[in-house]
Order: sequence, then structure tokens, then C-alpha cells
Amino acid sequence: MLLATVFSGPLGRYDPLKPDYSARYAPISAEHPLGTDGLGRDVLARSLAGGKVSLVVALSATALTMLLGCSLGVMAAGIGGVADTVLSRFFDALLAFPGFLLILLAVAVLGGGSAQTVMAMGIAGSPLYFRLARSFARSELRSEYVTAARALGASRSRQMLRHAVPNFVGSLAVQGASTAAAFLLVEASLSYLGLGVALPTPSWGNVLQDARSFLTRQPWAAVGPGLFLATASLSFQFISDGLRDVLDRRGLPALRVRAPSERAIIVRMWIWSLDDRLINVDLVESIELLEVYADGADPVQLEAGAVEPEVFELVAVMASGQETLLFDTEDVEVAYKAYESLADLVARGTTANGVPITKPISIIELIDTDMRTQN
Amino acid sequence: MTRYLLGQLVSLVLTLWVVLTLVFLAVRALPGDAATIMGGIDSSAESIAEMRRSLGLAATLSDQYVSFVGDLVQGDLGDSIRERRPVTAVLLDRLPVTLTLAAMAFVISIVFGLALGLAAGLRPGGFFDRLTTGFATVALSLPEFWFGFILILVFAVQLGWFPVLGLPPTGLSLRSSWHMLLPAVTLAIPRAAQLARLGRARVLEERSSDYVRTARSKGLSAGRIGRHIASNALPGIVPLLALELGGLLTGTIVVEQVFGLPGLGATLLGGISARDYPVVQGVTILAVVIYVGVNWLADVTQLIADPRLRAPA
Repeated sequence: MLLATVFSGPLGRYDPLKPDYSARYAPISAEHPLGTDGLGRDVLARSLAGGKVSLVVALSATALTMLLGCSLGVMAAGIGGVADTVLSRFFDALLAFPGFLLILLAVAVLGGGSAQTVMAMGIAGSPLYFRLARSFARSELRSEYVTAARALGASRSRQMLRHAVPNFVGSLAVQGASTAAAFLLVEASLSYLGLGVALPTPSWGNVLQDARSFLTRQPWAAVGPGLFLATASLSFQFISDGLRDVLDRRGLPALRVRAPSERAIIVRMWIWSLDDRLINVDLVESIELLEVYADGADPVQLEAGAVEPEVFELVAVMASGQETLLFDTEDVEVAYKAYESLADLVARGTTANGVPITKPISIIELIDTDMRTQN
Repeated sequence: MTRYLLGQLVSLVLTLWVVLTLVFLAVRALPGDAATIMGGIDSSAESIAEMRRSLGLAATLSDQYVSFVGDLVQGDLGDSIRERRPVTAVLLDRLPVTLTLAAMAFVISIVFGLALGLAAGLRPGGFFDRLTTGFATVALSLPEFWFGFILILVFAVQLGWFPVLGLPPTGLSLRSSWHMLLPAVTLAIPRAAQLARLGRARVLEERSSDYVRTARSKGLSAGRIGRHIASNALPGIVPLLALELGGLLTGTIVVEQVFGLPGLGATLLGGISARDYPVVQGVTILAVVIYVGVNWLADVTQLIADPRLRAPA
């Protein structure tokens, strides 16, 4: 399918832009496999050419979003401090908008057109990547090999770029394919509303817009682009799933150190799982989902306030649902406890101290689908 | 717990404030000048200037901002430039349509989506399950409005059961709900698909838990177990319904356009094309307030509903 759209220029027998008034609303035939539209333009040709435009827009928007979000996220993780807080708050505010509305307004502000659409989508999608990149980066920065690099005298940026980043690029790619699928649909909606790609340049969205006006006379004009859209979107999702599988198999070993402890430890975690259980930071913040008591700490005592618990906040990245990739803590006991509770979570749905958990569902997945389905 | 809720409330207000400021700036940044549009191309420079003054556009940006906030606090959203009446009135006019649409879609999506999802989860890997999952995936890969087309084609054109566009001239009424059924279904499909996936996931989780094993070993019938599973699976979905609402909200923009319904979405689009700042602002503010509020409500409800989640420390 990709090939068809890329080469749709030379392939098309009919110029997707030139009207042919003698052949208006022609039904499906061998000559016009999908019929013609109101101006006599071949629907198939327009669909193919539109595909080129739509795909370009969606892909460049994805690239932009990832670039923007990830670079800022990595920077925020590396620099920390005020810059980090400011950036985080800013992106949180962006996230307060329903996604599609944000994009709609952004496109309206920038004026319609393909370039503006790409920019708008790029901005709207970046908070997600900011968060992901930031938490990955923070988590990686605490790990052993980065510390080793630092001990060897590597500068901060070198540590980050050469050592930390390559480890999570793959996971980001998984998310990226998913976002591409979503953007495709968003672009379709925007163009349908007339705010995206401008006529007469076709894109799947505005071909559908055209089709709306003569829906009753030429139903196939709508079906064509729709099917193309679905295929493209599905392909991206499959790519995303496929990438995830590949990454999973490479999964890193879990922490296996077992340390008995007298400390009362409470661990709050941000968890990213390649198993499509990306758990929203906010959700975890507002509902302390995982409370882990180390051995030796009596829950009753804790309740009564007799023992002062130590609270740790970690980022944990999971793969294949059973093993942890990384915790951003150097405290082995804490890490062990966190791992144990994660294993609990996966296996039984309860924490070590018997509190059943309603397993939170991926909010990021929802945000993604949100953008996809909000058109 | 109260302190926590208060803290949430504060951050809610702060977020709203930031968001509103962004809306203010964004709307002012829309290209095109309302005064020129209203005055017409031929009007003289003086009449345009006059118009700008009367529309409040002549003041400096910071002055405008101050009056914006002041008005907002009093609940005044300004006057629509195109229709020359208060934005609040315009919004109230169109709100019922959108609300009815959203409500219908919400109900439909919950009833069908959850039912399908739960049923699919109870017999994983079965034919029904694969059918549902497949349907859900496909449904989420298609643009929302495309379903609208299909529905229109099949039900309105071929079968003639439904009218193709708009509401009956008498406005909202019982008969109009019939008109709104197709758009509501269109709006509902992606949410239903998402809910089906979620419901199925929740049921699958529950199935592997202890009490299910116990129940099965006790010899309970599949139906009874199913009911237990379902009632335990549901609470976990509540906060996500809030996000569904968000999607519903923005979905109405396009769906109203497809079906020609005079609701808030159409108002927003009309406002954008006419450079009617106050209207665009008003609709956006309303949408954002609803969205943020609903999310906050979802958080709070989950806290209240599940006391286990109220953490010490």
C-alpha cells in the first residue's frame, strides 16, 4: 500500500486534479475502479495521491512531535531544577486540553494548510513524548553504566547522549508508530473540516469532505479513501505491535537480590510497561497504588504512626509484564521491594501487604486512542 | 483526605487559569480581523476603527486581558460579534443539542461497548472474543466521521429509515431524538470500541484472581462466576469513563458537521471561520472547563468509591 501511494504520481492514468466534466459521478467500472467524483475526477487517483499527502503529513507530524517532546524531555531530565519544573508544568497544562480541540485551535490560529497542520499536531502530541523521554532519561541516568561513565570522566551530555538515550529509543519508536496511526486519523478529520490540507490538493480527509456533498449520488467516493485510511492506520498499529515484540524479547534481566530489611519502605512508582500498560503519572500520583512494606515493618505500627516510613518515588520500566528493566534508585532494598510488588501486581493483583489493586489501565494508550477517535 | 481534595482543587483552578490564558492568547492570534469582516470590504477606515472600539478590540492586549478576566469571573463571556448577542445566550441555545447527542452516545457506548467487552472477556479466545477484538481494532483505525457516512448511506439513503440531515423544524423534541440516533451511534462507535477493549482487559485480569479460582473449585456455575467477575471489573473502569467523555466532547465537533446538527461543535466551527473571537473563546472555555472538571471528578469519585485507595502518609 505504501508503494502504491508513493508512486501514485506516475501510476495514475488520470490526473487527480483535472476535472473531466463528461464523466461526472460515473459508477464503478473498469476504467474508473472507484468511480468519479463531482468534478469528474477519478476517485482512485485522488485517493492514491491523497494518500501521499496524508501519509507525509502524518509522518512528519510524528517526527516533529517526537523530536520536540523527546529532546525537551531529555533536556529536562538532564538539567533538572527550575527548568525541569517549568517545562513539566507547561506540558501538564497542554495536557489539560482535550487533544483534538487543541489541534483544531492551533490549526485555526496558524491558518489552515498542510504545514500548519503538521506543526499543530507536532505541538499537541509533544507532552506525551516529553513525559516518556523524561522518565526514561531520569531512570537511565541513575543506572550503573552511566555512573561508570561519569566516573570515567564523561561529561554530562556525553553520558546522556551516548549511554542513556540509546536504551530507550526503541521503546519510543513503539509509541511513535502508534502516534503515527493516530495522527493519520486526526489529519483526516482536520482536512474533512476544511482546516487541514487545502483543496484542490487531495488528502484522504478532504476527499471525504468532497464525498460528503454528493454522498447520495456517488457513495463509492467515500468508501475508497476510508478503506485506504483504515489500512494505513492498521498497518501502523501492526508496526507498533511488531516493534514491541522485538523489543520484548531482548528484555533485560530483573533484579534478583534479596535483602531482608528492618526498614519501613513505601514505594510509589511510575511504571511504563511495554506490555501496553503505560500507567499515567497523574493517576499514580493521585492514587497511591502501590504501597510496599519491607519485612520487619509492622503495618499496624505504620498505621499508628509509631514507625516513620521512608517514601521513595521511582520510575520503573517493565518489559513483558514480568521483568523489570530498570528502577531509578540505588537502594537495593527499595528496588527489591519495588520489583516484588510489581511481580505481585502482575501475578495476583495484590500488593505484598494484601491490598488488592485495581490495575490501572494505560492512560497514555487512551490519550493515543483519544486523539485517534476524537476526530 | 480533605486536605488532599483541596490540594487537587487548587491545582485544578491553577490549570484552568493557565489554560484560559492560553485560550485568550490563541483566540487573539487568529488571523483575520473581525472588525474588517463585519464592516465589509468597502467600509472606510473610520468605520472600521469605530467598530474595533465598540468590539473592544482597540485596547491594548493587557487591557483586554484584564477585562477578559474580570468579565469571566462575573460569568460574562462577551458578545458574539456575528450575532450581536451575548455569547452565553448563544451557547445556551446550542448546548441542549450537543448535550442530548453526547448523552445518547454515552449511553449507547456504555451499553454496547461494555457488554461486548465483558462478554468477550468471559470466553477469551473464542469466536465472539476474536470478533469483538477485531471489530474494535478496525473501528479505532477508521476516522469517526466515516462511520457517519456509512450509516447515512445504509440507513438514511437506502432504507429511508432516518432523515439525512439536521433536526426537525420544531427543534428538540422526542421526534428529534430519532433524528439524533444516527449521529449518536456514530459518536458512540469509537468509545464503544475502546470500552470493549477495556472491559475485556479487566475481565481477563479478574479471571486470574484468587476468588475466581475459589468459586470455580466450589463448583459455581459459569453464569454466577461471570456475574461476580463483571461486578468486580466495573469499578476499575470508572475513571476511564471520564476520558471517554473528553473524546465524546471533541467528537461532537465533527459529527455535528457531518449530520448538520446545530450544536456547540457547529458553533465553534462557524466561529472560527467568521473570526468571531468571543464565540470561539466561549466554546473553548466551556469545553475545557467541562473536560478538566470531569477528569477531576473522576479522580475524586474513585477516591471516594474505593477507600482502600486513600493512602496513609
